[in-house]
Amino acid sequence: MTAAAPAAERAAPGVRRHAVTVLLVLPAALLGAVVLAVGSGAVPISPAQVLSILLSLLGLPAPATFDAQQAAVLTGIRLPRVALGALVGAGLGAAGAAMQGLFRNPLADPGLLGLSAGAGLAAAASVVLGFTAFGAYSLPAAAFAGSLGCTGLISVLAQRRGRVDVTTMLLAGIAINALCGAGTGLMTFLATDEQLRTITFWQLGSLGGATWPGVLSAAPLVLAGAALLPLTARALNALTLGEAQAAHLGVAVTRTKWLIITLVALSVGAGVAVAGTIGFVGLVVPHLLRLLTGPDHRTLLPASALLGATLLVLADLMARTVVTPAELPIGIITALLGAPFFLFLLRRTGRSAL
Amino acid sequence: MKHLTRLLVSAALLALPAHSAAHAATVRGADGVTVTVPPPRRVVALNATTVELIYRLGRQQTIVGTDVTGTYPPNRIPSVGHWAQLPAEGIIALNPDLVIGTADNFAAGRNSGVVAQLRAAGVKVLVLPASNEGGLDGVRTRLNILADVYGVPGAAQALSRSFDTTLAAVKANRPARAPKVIFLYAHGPNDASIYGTDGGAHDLITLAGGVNAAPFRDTRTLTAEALVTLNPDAIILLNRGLEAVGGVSGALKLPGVAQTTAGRARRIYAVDDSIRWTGPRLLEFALALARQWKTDFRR
Repeated sequence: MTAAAPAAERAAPGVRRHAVTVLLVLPAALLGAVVLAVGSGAVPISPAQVLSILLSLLGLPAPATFDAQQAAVLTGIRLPRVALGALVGAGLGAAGAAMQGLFRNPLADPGLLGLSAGAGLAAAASVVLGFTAFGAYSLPAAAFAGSLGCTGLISVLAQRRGRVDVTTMLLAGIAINALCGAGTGLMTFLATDEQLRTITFWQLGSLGGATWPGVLSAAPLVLAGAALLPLTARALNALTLGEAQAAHLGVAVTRTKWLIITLVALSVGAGVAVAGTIGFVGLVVPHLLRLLTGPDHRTLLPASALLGATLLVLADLMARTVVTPAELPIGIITALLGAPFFLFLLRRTGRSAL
Repeated sequence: MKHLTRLLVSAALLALPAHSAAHAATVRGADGVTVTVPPPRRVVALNATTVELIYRLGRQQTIVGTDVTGTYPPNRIPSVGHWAQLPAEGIIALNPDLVIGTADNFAAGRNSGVVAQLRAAGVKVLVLPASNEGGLDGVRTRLNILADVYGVPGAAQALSRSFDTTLAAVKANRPARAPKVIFLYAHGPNDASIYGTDGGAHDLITLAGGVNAAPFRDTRTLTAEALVTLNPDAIILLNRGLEAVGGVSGALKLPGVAQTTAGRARRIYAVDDSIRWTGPRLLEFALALARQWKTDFRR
């Protein structure tokens, strides 16, 4: 493979060094964001108290005093929320990078696979039709089933003689997205005022519903995506040359495509189910990193997961602190920050960066 | 005299703590959860009618937080945001000794999870019966529960008696002929829904001596033909809605309105925006409407 190694893997030494730096800095940035997010919120808990509460959870002596309510807020509300933000962000980041690689298209994001639209339709339908089979988890369960169903449908439609045709998948995705949009429209038409508001707020996204059972139910799926997608990096690098060339390089192209689609569907679907639709993270994060580390997916995929997690933890921190005691839906923050930043990248670097 | 004053003061001093210690109300919420509280000092009152009822009981100084709907009487109480998406930590940050909401609002979106989070953090949450059903009886029920919580049964009885007086006035002022009425929930010139036969709008129409012409529950989008078929004698809008469509002349341009009996006679009425949640002003709104109808529907 040495002679025919794709350009991305023979990057200039400068970019390579950049990549190492980024992979060292990003975990530290994520850790910093988590510490900041855990220590800030509407209820004042000082850093010493945060430490004391965590230590006392482990049965160790606490250096500072805290009351039971602070402990309950930290462990029952804030920690699961930060954990969910990191998880969902990591899933969105890694999935976005993998999708852009798979489609060889800078505008690809998990939404193209029908993940958000399918989840939106199923969520709206579960609210309007009164689906309550799983109690408090009925809406997330419906949303997850909706994303998987929609992605499955698009993938099957994109099949040509056992192979996934990426262009057909893109077009099928657009059509199915439109169909889901119509279905969601029908549901909002049928909805009562209360149901309409539930649907609207779900679509704006929020980590406010984070509970440990919710986080733990999403964690295996999201982590599977964020941890296993980087394993497809070599194949994605080869795919940048084109499918035929990748196949000549020994990449099992069809199997790789199915693997990526499955991992993206599982990880993003699980994230969307618990947090609603959160836009722009999957689109912007890989772009930003490509500027810093170059197009090598071996760096890009893990870095996107780390940066996605960091950004979503920080976005949620903003969502829950700027208008206390109220909260902003996080989808508003990611779009407000993400869209102008995307335009800035576009203007500054032109199409070459994309 | 001096002696007597001193005696009275010491008696009062003795009685005060004894009273507040004795009074710890045990109240069963609409969700079946029983809450035991001494008269609360810091209350987060969610839903417009909860805020209004607490004001009527003279305990408004205890309200430290509300949601976007809690705007009447005009106040500067901090809002925790939209009632359909309540923030657990934001509510706890107001350091309430009691959170009071209604079953309808707590059922919206993720709010039931928020109630669980609040309780897990040791915050007492009282769930009142739904504010969008039960009409006047529902208001009385919620009033009595709140009076128990605050230990002010006298204030609730006085308010309840004033309800009886106003109700008698409403009945005496009803129109001779009951008009067929449609309640339009309008957001703008091309966007209006009809309120169905449940909720505060229906209670208002019935109390004021009208007949709700809507043949369905919940809300339905207004279509010109449906409205002409229903052919109401009177049309009610929210103040906000009437403003949004551009006054009575604008309302007449809504699809189908001009072709109804109400439209031809310009029988368009406006009521307070808060009617969506049934609160203590229901009868005042009904009385005003009944008086207008009594004049307009003599025959």
